[in-house]
Amino acid sequence: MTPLQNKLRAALRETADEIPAQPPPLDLSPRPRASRNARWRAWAAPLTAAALVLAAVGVSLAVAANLKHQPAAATRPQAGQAGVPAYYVALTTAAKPQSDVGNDLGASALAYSAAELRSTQTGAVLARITPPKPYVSFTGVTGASDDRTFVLSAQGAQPSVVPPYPAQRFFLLRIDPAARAGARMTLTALPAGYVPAGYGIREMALSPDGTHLAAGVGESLGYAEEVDVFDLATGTERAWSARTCAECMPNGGGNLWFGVNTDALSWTADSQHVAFTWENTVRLLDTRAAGSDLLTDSKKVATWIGGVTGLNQWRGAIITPDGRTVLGIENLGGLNLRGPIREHLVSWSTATGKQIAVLNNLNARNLGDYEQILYTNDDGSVLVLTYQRPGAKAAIVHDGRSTPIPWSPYIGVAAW
Amino acid sequence: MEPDDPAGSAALRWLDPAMDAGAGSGAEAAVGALYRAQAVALIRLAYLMLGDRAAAEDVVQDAFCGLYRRWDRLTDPGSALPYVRSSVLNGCRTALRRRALGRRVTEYQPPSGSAEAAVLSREEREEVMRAVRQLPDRQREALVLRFYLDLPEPEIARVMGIRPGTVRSATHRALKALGHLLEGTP
Repeated sequence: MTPLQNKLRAALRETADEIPAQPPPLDLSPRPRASRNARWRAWAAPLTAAALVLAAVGVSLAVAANLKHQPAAATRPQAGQAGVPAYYVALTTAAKPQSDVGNDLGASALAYSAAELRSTQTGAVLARITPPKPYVSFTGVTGASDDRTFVLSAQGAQPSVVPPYPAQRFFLLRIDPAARAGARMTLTALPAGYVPAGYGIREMALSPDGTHLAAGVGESLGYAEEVDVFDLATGTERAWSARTCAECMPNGGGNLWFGVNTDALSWTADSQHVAFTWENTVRLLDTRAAGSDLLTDSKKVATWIGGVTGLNQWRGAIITPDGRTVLGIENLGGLNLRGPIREHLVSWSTATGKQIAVLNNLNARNLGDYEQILYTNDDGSVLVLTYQRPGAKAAIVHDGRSTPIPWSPYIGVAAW
Repeated sequence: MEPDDPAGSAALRWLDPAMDAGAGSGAEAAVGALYRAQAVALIRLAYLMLGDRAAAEDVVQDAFCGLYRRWDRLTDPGSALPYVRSSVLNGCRTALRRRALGRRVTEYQPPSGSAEAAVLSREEREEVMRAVRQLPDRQREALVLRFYLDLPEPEIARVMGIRPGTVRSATHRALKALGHLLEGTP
């Protein structure tokens, strides 16, 4: 090969490398020829039966360490299957985790090396990011169910899900398919002081309008000791705790499971009320209240008759955005390290506080096969569940039908 | 994430439905799988031809839509990649013609520096790419297919729809012209 040919080859390859390794999604839906901008609008459009989105969106990562951004107002979720947002963020491990979903006794929570934007319909990876230095692993994720806004938590060089906890940091992940190629996804660091060293994050939930983050944090193992609500626009923080009972801690689920629970805290659609569990009840915190007492500023909306007694405990509990229903995972028999583990998905009416129905009975096969509620629509008629039946790692459940979501064994936890 | 595979070997694997259980079924699955495996390489190919990323993505999108529409008439799934490559080149020609007619004016944008650009300096690379873009379409296609995708002459001929002998002559003339443009020795 001549010097000219070598130079030509190098120039071609280096120039070609300017195109990122993740192409935009493929849209096969029939329509007139459209401009590029129109196509990017279509990226966010409902997927039609004829459309198959199988590829990746060009991504670059911009990390800003200030809070000058203004989180966008809530946008309508993009309709995917049965109205489930078309995209979700999954935390993934480099090695196959102990279980296929989160809360697997912490092993994978230490090693979520990347966050992936994935297609609900196809499971295709649309974008992938890694924790900005000096952070080395993501620990949790929550979404606003608007296809656009997520919050991730990350730990530094010596991560741990048991005390003493290292400092953690929240990152706001925003997706804008209509943005220029280099700015379709941005990751903005939230204040470093939000979760100082010594405090672990037990659960977190992003408000539907993407402006506030609720998190259960605490110094002890397995329990949150307070519910914090962070204003992502102003950087301010409020905390609610209850000191009336040393043993009574707000615990939204996943009792004694490590990692950040995804179905423990939940918001109503007005982005002003946060549901959490308290002993054998689910309570609704009014974040507009001026106080700091968790019980005074909240009211009971559901009661688990079986109660958190003996080895029975909540696995997870969320309120539907319309505020009318609580959906909870009852874990019967407690932490059984040998399995099987009996779990029920149960619904309660917030009007009466009483149980409405047992939606399923699960005898999990393996320790890590816990049922989780990863998404609910406004009234709870459409859910994304993990392990709602044998063989279903994750599925959309709607009208009694279960539609599997393509899933990777490297996914530790996911949020819509 | 799919590996960067300009040569296209991954496409054949993806065309095996057993290897792609999550991709759906039928034409959608096959075209989608081929897209996942080849989109990056094809967008890069189109980018080298057009110097415009947005236009390159559009051309590739159109090529796959065309493949999807004609999938039922494809007798050999193995011919899908050459077909879509040809479609991309045709799309590039169309885009260049439109550009020449003034419907769309897009100058080649010199790339920003990247960590990968270690072999050539930025100035050298821009100089080479400017020269490449001055070549006639057919010569430029022959060079890109030969020196970027590393396709053999018969495959280049198939993709370009010309005879292998024409590929040889086009490549020879292109290199000679490139040498003159760069004031170097071919």
